[in-house]
Amino acid sequence: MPCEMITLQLGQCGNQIGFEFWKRLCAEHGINPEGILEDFATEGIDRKDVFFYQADDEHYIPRAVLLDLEPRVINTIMNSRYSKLYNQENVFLSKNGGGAGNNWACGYSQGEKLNEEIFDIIDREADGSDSLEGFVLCHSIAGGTGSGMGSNILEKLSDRFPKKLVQTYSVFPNQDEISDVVVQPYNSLLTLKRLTDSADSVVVLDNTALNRIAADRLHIQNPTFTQINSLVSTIMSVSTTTLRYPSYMNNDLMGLLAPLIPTPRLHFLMTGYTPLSTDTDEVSVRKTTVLDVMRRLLQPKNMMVSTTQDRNSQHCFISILNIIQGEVDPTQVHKSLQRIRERKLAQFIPWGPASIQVALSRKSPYIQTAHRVSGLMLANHTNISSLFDRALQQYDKLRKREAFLEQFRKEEMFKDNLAELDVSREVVQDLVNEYVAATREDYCTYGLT
Amino acid sequence: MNRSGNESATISALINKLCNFYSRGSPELSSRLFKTSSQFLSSVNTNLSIDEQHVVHNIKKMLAVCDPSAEHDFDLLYAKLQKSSVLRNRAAILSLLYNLHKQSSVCNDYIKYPETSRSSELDFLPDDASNGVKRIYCAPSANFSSSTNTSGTQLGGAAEIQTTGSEYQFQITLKERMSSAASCSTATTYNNMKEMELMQEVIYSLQGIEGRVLKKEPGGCGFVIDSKSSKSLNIIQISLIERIACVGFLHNQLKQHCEDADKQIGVIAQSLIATFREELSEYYKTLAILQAQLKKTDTELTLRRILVWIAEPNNRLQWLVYIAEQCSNKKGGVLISAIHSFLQHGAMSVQKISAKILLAVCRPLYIMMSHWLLDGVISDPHNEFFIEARNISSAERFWYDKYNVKTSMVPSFISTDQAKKILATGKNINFLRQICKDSNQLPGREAIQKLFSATSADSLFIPDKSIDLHISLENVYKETSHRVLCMLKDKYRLLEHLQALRRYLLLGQGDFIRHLLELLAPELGKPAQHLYVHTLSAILESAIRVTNAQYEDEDILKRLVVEFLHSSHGDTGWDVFTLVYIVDGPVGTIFEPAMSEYRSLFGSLWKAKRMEYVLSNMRKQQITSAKQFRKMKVLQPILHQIHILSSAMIHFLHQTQYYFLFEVLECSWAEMMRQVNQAECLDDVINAHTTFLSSVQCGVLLDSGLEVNERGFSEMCAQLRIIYNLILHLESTQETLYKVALEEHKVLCAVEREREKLQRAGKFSLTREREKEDKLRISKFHNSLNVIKHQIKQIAYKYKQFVQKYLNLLAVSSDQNLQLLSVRLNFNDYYKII
Repeated sequence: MPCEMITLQLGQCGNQIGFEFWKRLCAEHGINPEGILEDFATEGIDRKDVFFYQADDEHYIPRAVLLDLEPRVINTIMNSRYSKLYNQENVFLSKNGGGAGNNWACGYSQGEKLNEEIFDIIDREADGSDSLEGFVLCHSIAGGTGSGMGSNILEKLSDRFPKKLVQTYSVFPNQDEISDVVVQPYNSLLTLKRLTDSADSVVVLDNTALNRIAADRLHIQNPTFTQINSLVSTIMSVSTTTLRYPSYMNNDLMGLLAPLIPTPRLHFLMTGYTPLSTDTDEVSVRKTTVLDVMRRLLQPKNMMVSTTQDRNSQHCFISILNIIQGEVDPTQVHKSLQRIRERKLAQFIPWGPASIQVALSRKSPYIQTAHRVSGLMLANHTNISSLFDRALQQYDKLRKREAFLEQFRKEEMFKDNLAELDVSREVVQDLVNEYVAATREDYCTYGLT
Repeated sequence: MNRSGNESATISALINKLCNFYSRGSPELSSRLFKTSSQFLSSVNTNLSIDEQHVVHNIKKMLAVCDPSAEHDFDLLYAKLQKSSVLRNRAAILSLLYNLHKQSSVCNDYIKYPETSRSSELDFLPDDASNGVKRIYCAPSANFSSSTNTSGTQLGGAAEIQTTGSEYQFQITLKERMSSAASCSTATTYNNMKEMELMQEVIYSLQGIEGRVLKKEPGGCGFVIDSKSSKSLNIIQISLIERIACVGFLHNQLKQHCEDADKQIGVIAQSLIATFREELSEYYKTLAILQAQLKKTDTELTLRRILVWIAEPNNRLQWLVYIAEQCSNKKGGVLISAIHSFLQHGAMSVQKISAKILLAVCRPLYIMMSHWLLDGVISDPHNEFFIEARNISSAERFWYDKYNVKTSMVPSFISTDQAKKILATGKNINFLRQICKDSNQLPGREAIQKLFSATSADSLFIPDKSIDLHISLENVYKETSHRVLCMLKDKYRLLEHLQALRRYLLLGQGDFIRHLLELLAPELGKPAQHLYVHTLSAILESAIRVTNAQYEDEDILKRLVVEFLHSSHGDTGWDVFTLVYIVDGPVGTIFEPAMSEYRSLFGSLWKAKRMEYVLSNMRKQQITSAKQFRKMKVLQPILHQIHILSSAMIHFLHQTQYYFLFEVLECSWAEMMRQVNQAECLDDVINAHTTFLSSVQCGVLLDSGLEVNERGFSEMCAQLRIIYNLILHLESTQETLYKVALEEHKVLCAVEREREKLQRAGKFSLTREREKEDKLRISKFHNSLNVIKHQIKQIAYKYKQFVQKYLNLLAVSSDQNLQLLSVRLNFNDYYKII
C-alpha cells in the first residue's frame, strides 16, 4: 500500500497524544484494542494500511515507534487494553530510565547516544512499507525528551531520509500558567530551530489555546490531560482523514500539504475544529450547516493556537484547507465560500493567489456523532509568528539574566559556548521576519537583496 | 306512395288541421282558409302534368274495388290505347275518364292531394344528395346543372334547390318557372320511350352497366344520355334519369376504388375495401329488389319511385365515395386517422357509416397491438403499424434503434405519449427476452391478455371503452418497465457499473488513481510507439493490487483495461494512454453509446490529475531539498522565485480540480443518483445518465456542443492546455535547476572536506590553480543559474498572462458555474479581472 506514514511518539506528551491518536484510529477503522478487525468492519471503504500494517496473523499493527527516556507513560500504555496493539519491538525505553529532566540538552545528547538503536527500529519499520511517504512525530517542545531527543531525531531523519516528508504534531506550552519547567524558554527555542530547519510541516498544538477552549467552549474548568489529548487526537485523526478515506483529492500527505505551504520555511500550521464536544456534552442545539462550520472555523476562538491579536498588524492567511466531514451537499460549499468572500471574513496574502481550499471527506461509518457536519481547518497564518515572537521574548528575558544555564553547560553541545542558543535565536528570528514579510506584497522578492 | 280516396280524406283533414293552427282557434277563419286552400290546390291540379302510370294505377285500384273482373278488361284496353298512334295524351285521357267516374260515383268531393307537391317533397332528398355530390365532383355537375335549368319548371321546388347557387340565380329560376308555368299545360310533351325500358336502363346504370340510353361518359365513371335517345325523352324523364344516373356514378366510383385498392397492399387498407364491398353488396340487394319490382307484371315501379328507393343508398354511397377518396393512397395509421376524423361529423348517418368503417379498419390494428403488447412481436407485413422494427442485431444499439414510433402512422386517437408507452412496453418485452434472456412469465401479461380477449377494436377509439384499455396499457407499461429496471439493477448490476465508471474513469478512487499515476509516470514519459499494452496492463494490475481497488468486485476489475488512443508523431505516452471500462450485455445498452464521452472525460481529468501529481512532486522536491541547499545562499533568490510561482500553480490546479471533481462531478452525480432511484423505466435511467454526462462534459470544458454558439468553450480549453504546458515547462526547468545545484553542492561539499583535511594537515587550504578552477566553475554555475532565472521569469510572466486571460474568459462565460470558478480561482483578488 503506497503512501504509508510512520508515527514516532516521543516523551511523555508525545506518547500520551499518540496513545489517544491510535485509540481513535482503531475506533474509526473498526479495529479492536487487540488489533483484530471487528466483525462489523468492511473492507474497501477505508485505507487502514496508511497507518497500520497487517501481521501474519491478520492483526493490524500501528506503524508506530514509541520512544521515551523514562518508563512511566509507556508502562501505562503497555498496561492498558491496547497493550497488544503495538509491536513490542517498536517500543523503546532508555535503559537508565532517568528521563531527560526537562532539559533539552540532556534529551538531545541522549538521543545522540541512542541514535543507532532508535534508527534500527525506524529503518526496520521503513523497510516494511511499500512506498513510505513520511514520518509523523508527536512531541512537546517544552520538556526534555520530546524536545531534545525529538530535535535530534528530526535532524537525523532529514539526513537519513532526505526524500521523505517529516510532519510533526508539536505541543506548545501553556502560557497562561507558570510552568514548573524553568528552562522551558530554552527548550522551546532550541526545538523551534529544528522544527524550522528539519521538519517539513509542523502542526502547532498550543496548550494555551487547548486549555482555553476546554474551559470556554467545553466548560471544563480544570481540564485533564486526557481531555486535552482527546482534542488533540481529534485534530490528528481528522487531518489524516483524506489519506485514510480515499476520494478524488488529497489522498497523500504531499497533496494535502502542497497547497498549504507556499515556501518551505513557512510550514507551521494552525488548526481549528468545530463543533467541539466531549463525551459529556448534550446533543448540541446549534444547527451545523456547511456555512456555519466554515464561518466558525475562521473565528479565533475555535483556533487551537493562541495568537495575540494585533489590530494594527497586517497578519493574514497564507492558505486554508478545510476538511469537511459529514452529510455535505457540494453545492453548499460554494455558497459558503461566496459568503465568506463577500463578507471578507478571511484576509489573504497580497502576493499570490490564495483561497479556502475545501476537502470533502468521508467519516468513519463506525462512529456516531451528534453533528451533521463537522470541519477541521488547517491554516497557514502569518500570525503564528506571534507565538514564536513570544517564545523569543521569554528566551531573551531568561538569557539576559543568564539564568538556569548550568544544566545546559553540562552537555557536550554547550560545553564550550552557548553559540547554539544564539544560532537558534537567529533562525527563529529569521522565521518571524519571514512570516512578517509574507504579509506584504513584496514577499515575492523576499531575500533577493 | 299509394294514393286512395280515404287517404285523400286524411289529407283534407291535415289541411283542416293546418288551417286551424293558422287561424288560432277561430272556426270562421279556419273555414275560410280551408276554402281558399282547396280552391288553390284544385286550380294547381289542372296545371299539373299527369303521371300516366299513376292514373292507370288509380283506375285499377278503383276497378279492383268495384269490379275485379273489369280490371283485366282495362288492361287490354289500356294496352290498345298504348299502341294507338292517334291518342297521345294517354295520361290526360285516362285521368279525365277516371275523374269523371269519380265525380259521378262516390263523390266524397274532397280535393285530391296534388301529386306534384307530394313528389317534389320526396324529390328533395335525392336532389339534395346529388347536390352534395355535385359539390364534390365537378365533372358530372356540369352535366347536371345544364339539365336542371330545363327541367326546372316541371320539378317545381326541386329545381329551386338544385340551382341555388346565389340569390340572383334563384331569382332567375323563379321567373323562369313563373313564365313556363303559364305555358306549361301546352308545353307538356310526351315521349315515345317506354317508362319500363327507361327503368331498366336506369337500374342497369345503377349497377354501372351502360345501356341504350345511358352511355358511359367517355373517360369517366358517369353516364350521359345518348343524344339520339334524348330527343325522344321528355324533360322530366331526362332529369329523373340523370339524377338516378348520378347514383350510378357514385357506384362506379366506389367500385373503382375497390378495384384500385386491390393493387394496394396492407391489411388495414384491405379491411377498408372489405367494408366497401360489404356496403356495395348491400346496395346490390336494394337494386335486386328494384329489379324484381320491375319484372313484376303488376309493377308499381316508376322512375320517381326508383329515385326514392335509392335515396338512402345514394346518401350512403356519397359518403363512402368521399371516404374512399380521402383514404386513397393512405395506409395504416394515416388511413385510420383519416377515417377517425369523420367520426366527429355532425350528421348521424355519416357518424354511423364512419364508425362502422373505423371499427373494421381498427380490427387489424388491434390485433397488431395485442401481438406487440403481449409478445413484443410485430406482425405487420405491410408496414402499417405505428411501431417499426429495424434490422439491428447488436445488443448495444438494441434499445435505442431497434424499435421506434412512426409518428405519421400513429392513429389520431392514440396520443404521442401513449404511443411511446406502447412502444416501450413491447420494447421492454423484447429487451427482456432477447437481451436479458429472461424467459420468465412477464408481469401484467395475464391482465392484458384478459383485456384483449374481453374487448374489441372499438375500445381503441370509443372514449368510454378506451379508458379501461389505456389504464391497462399504463399498468402493463409500468410493470414491464419495472421488470426491466429490476433486471438491470439486480441481475446486471447497473448501479455497480455506474459506480465503477465514476471510480475508475472519473477518478473517484483517488488512492488508486494516484498510485497508478506514480507507477505509470516513467513509462508514459516515453514516446508513444515505445509503449506496449501488456507493460501498462501489468502496471494497472499492480496498482489495483495495492490500493483499495483490490476490494472491488472481480468482474468489474476485469472490465478495466488499458488502451492507446490514436498516436501521431511526437506523441508521448501521456498523449495516448487511456483507461477503458468494457461494458457488454444489457447494461451495454446504456453505457456503450456513452463510452466516447467517458474517454474524453477521462482524458481531461487524467490530465488535470497528472498536473497535480507533477506539481506535488515539484513541491516535494522543493521542500526536501530546501534543507540540503540551505547553506547555498546564492540559490535562495531563485528558489524563492520558483516556490512562489509553483505555489500559484498549485493553487490554480487545486481549485480547478476541486471544481471539476466536487462541484461538477459530485453535484451531477448526486443529481443522477436521485433520478436513477426515482426512475420508472429504463429510459429514465438513460436520460439521467445522459444529463449527467453532458453536465460533466460542460463543466470540464470539453463540451463541443456549445462550441458553435459560444466559442468561449473551446478557447477556455485551449487556455487551460497552455497553462498545463507552462506547468510542465516549469517542471523541467526546476529539474535542471536542481541538477545544476546538486552538482555544485557536491563539489562544495568535496571542497569543504578537502579544505578541512588540508587545514588539519597544516597546509594552505587552496592552491592558486585550484582557485582558478573554482572561479571558472562558479562563474559557469552562476551563468546557468542566470539562464534558469530568466526562464523562470518568463514562465512566471506568461503564466500570469494566461491565467488572467483564462479568468477573464471564465468571468464572461454564460455558464454560471464557470463564472463561479473564476471567483474561486481569484478568491483574494490577486488577479485583476476586467
